[in-house]
Amino acid sequence: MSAADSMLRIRDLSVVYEIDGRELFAVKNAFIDLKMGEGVGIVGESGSGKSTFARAMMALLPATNARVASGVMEIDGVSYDMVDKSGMARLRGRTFAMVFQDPLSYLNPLMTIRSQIVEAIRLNDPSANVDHRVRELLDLVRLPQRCLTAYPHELSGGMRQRVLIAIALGCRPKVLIADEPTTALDVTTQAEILALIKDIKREIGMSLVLISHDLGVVSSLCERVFVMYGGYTIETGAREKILSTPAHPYTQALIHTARAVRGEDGRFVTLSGDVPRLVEAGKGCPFAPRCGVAMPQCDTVLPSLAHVNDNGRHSARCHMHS
Amino acid sequence: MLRLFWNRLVWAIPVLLVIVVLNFVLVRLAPGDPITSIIGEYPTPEGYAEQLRAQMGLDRPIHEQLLIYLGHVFQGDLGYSFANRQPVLSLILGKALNTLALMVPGLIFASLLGILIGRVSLSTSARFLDSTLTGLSLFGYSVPIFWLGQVLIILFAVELQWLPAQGMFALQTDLPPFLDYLAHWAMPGFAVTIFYAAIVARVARASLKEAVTGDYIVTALAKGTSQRRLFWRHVLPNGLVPIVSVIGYNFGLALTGAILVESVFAWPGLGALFMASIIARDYPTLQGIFLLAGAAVVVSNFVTDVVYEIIDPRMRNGSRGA
Repeated sequence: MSAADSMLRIRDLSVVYEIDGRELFAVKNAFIDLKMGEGVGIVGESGSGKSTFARAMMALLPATNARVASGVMEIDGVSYDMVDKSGMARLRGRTFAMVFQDPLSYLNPLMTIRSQIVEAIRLNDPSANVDHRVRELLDLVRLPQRCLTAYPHELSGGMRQRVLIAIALGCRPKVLIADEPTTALDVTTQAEILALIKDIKREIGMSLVLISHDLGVVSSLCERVFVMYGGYTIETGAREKILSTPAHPYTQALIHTARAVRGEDGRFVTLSGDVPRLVEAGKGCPFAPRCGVAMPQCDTVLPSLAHVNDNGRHSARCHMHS
Repeated sequence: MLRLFWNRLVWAIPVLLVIVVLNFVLVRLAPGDPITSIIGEYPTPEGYAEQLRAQMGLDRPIHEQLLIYLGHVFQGDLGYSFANRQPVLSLILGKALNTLALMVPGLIFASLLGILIGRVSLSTSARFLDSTLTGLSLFGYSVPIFWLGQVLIILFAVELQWLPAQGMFALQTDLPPFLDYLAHWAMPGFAVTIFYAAIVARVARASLKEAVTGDYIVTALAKGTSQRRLFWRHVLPNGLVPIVSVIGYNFGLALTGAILVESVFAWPGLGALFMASIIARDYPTLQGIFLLAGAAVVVSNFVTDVVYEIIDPRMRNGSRGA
């Protein structure tokens, strides 16, 4: 894709955790592109670096042992060095706002719903007509006005997640980042929240970065998908291409397990082994130890990102395609 | 809120009753005799001691004395101090005001200072200052207050002659009363402040450090909250309950918490009266002081509970379900 039509580009993002005096990469050379009004999903298992990716965008990495080692971000034609934490922190709110996984613990237990939403509005637009905006936001997330005087512990999980979404939207961000927004909810509520985010995205043309381990969730909200594994972006492409013709063996395995495909022996296909721990990261392809079609070079040489097809919009980091 | 108020009030009565009865019995169990204290070493006519004993009602059985005393207490009469030749109530209230004049400013400064030290401990850029303050807190907490008092007197009253060594007001002075009080307050007030600030700081440090790790802090940051606002609006309220409880405890024991300081600096407060009344076996005064001190604890516990409910909506009774 060309630089012209994307509003947000992140290139070469690497995040380092310092553990026991050793520097370990949680995210390495990862990237995304996002068009105005588009939804992109970052998919991966826990440990793939997808949440770290999102936290790096928000400059919300744990200050004690994590830092961005490299990364360039371009948004609306302005470019930022992601290593500069305070520069990135200034983008919180008006540029990026975030919805989190566990809506109870992410709401301040001592503040009413109203004051938490109002805070988001005021911080990013001191001259806003607060009452009007609050009413508007509550309608947008389909919450009754009487919730405004309630405290977080008085609401249900689904309502709390709606409040978190209202807080994020209250910032009027250019991009909404949602980190596993439905994982902590029960199944029926998950569907409601997904439908809500979908509606909001359409109604206000929200650009969305969705972080999830669930390809189903991602494909319902996002036009394009970035698959992460072991800190690398290993495959990217349009949702339909990723789902119908996944190029990377990992993505293939992910789709098989998500669809509960039965193998020749009649049992569900599962992906054996574990996500590489940071410590074990070797020189080659991070997926090589679990890969069914690994070649000798996979253990030693990191494959580069190569176009698969779809006019260069579908790429994978795999030796089979390079 | 009103119901809680009545509940508390109803409970306060048996608590105070137990305090009164226990102390009534305890002071009489202690060795010594008020009549001997009053008469002293002077030769007296035959039968004078018995006459005095009967006049004060001390010849009656102890349970009769108790019932008479309780009857008077319920009418707001705490008895007559034979050692001080005045009614107990006005005597101890006057002294209690002096003690409060020493303790209340000290406890307020100590509370603010303690929270400030807790605030510094959150800053990642002030590690050295934090360790210094932690060391000083430990010193303030462990140094005997009578020793610190003596050192202060030697330094500022004896050597430098900047401050008066004892009392609350000078007998003759050109200073306006408030400045005179301030000069006398400086050293005992400092000793009180240091000790209680250390207690508050220990609790504040721990509870603020815990509050700052809350997920809701991440949400607040994601809105674009400034560091200053983050502390006052999110961190401090969420870390305040343990701090309020220790401050409330300090205030509850304020009336009897300054016995050593009052002794060292000859502050004319309740502590000094308490010591003198023990030596004089002044039963009514001792009982009055115990009752007042007990009532102060009950009141401060009540106020602390109310403050809890103001801070934390989860502690309010019958919270509305939304």
